[in-house]
Amino acid sequence: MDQELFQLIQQAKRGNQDAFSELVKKYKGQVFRHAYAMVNDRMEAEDIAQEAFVKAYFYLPKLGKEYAFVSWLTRIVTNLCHDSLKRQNKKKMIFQTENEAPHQLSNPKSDMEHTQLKLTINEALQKLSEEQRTALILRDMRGYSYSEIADILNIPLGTVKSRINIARASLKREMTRGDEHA
Amino acid sequence: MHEYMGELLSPYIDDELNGEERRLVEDHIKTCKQCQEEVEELRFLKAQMQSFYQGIDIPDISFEEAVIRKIQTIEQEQQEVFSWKFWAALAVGMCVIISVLLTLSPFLYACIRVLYTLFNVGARIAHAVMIIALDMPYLTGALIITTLILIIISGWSVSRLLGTKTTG
Ligand SMILES: [Zn+2]
Repeated sequence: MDQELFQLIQQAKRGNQDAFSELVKKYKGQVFRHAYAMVNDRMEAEDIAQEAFVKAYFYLPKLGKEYAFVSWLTRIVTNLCHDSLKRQNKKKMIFQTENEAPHQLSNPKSDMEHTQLKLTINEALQKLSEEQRTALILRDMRGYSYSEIADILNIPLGTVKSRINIARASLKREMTRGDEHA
Repeated sequence: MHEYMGELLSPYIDDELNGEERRLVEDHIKTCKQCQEEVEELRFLKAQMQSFYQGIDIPDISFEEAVIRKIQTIEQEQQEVFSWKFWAALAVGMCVIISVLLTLSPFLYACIRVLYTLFNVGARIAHAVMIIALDMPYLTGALIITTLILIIISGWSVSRLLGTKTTG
């Protein structure tokens, strides 16, 4: 970690908001893109990213090791994305139970459309389970090693490996769907 | 793709295999076209992930401003909550003191009444004694004489007692 960043973190720790603003500027790209890849909604991703920084500001004095700042921030973002997806799922479930009949009627048609359309990487990514998507984003987008991911998500190394492996297999399946018939 | 290669190809493209595993994969894909293709596809997928990530537009400077604004709002709220708590504590304290006084008031009232009565009685007795003393000047004289006689008697008896002690 370079000296300048170390100092910025220390200043922000003491409540210097200009220093913290510099940190936000430096990391907003990573944080926002991570959130967007997770939730696939710009507004929601911006809310998550802002909340992550607000949380980071108030918990910063409790961060012991300055060099762990970025992975610590990543853990905050991951947790906030999880909360957001949980809220979305709850909303979706309420919506579905309210509109059960029409939903079931339209289902076969949308399934047909699915098999005929090849998905973009983003669409395919959204098809993955949250766990698999998180692991793959941390690896391929954020560039963390398997052991760093294990640390951030607090899971065993073997689980990281298998989640990424499964994620890639299903991503490939989603993106090549219909190729054989085309 | 070959079954036993399944779990190795994904960590292979991430460079997360140990030396032995990596050599195993490298030797295998030299001869197996299927697994070679699989590696290519995985690498392509990874590249797509990265280019999708790089293509996401980053929010402008209003993002930092919004974050700092939110932080300041929370800090302000915390201060307000603090002062609100201070005033609430003060009000509660006052209420406690007043209610304690109110519940104890019958007792306090009784105490004051007793003291007042005692003081009244004392004052009346003193007043009566004064009147009697003024009305009977002889009594005063008699009292003074009796007192003097008593003092003299006691003084004599004390000296006598001391005297017997030194001689005896
Ligand atoms: Zn093979």
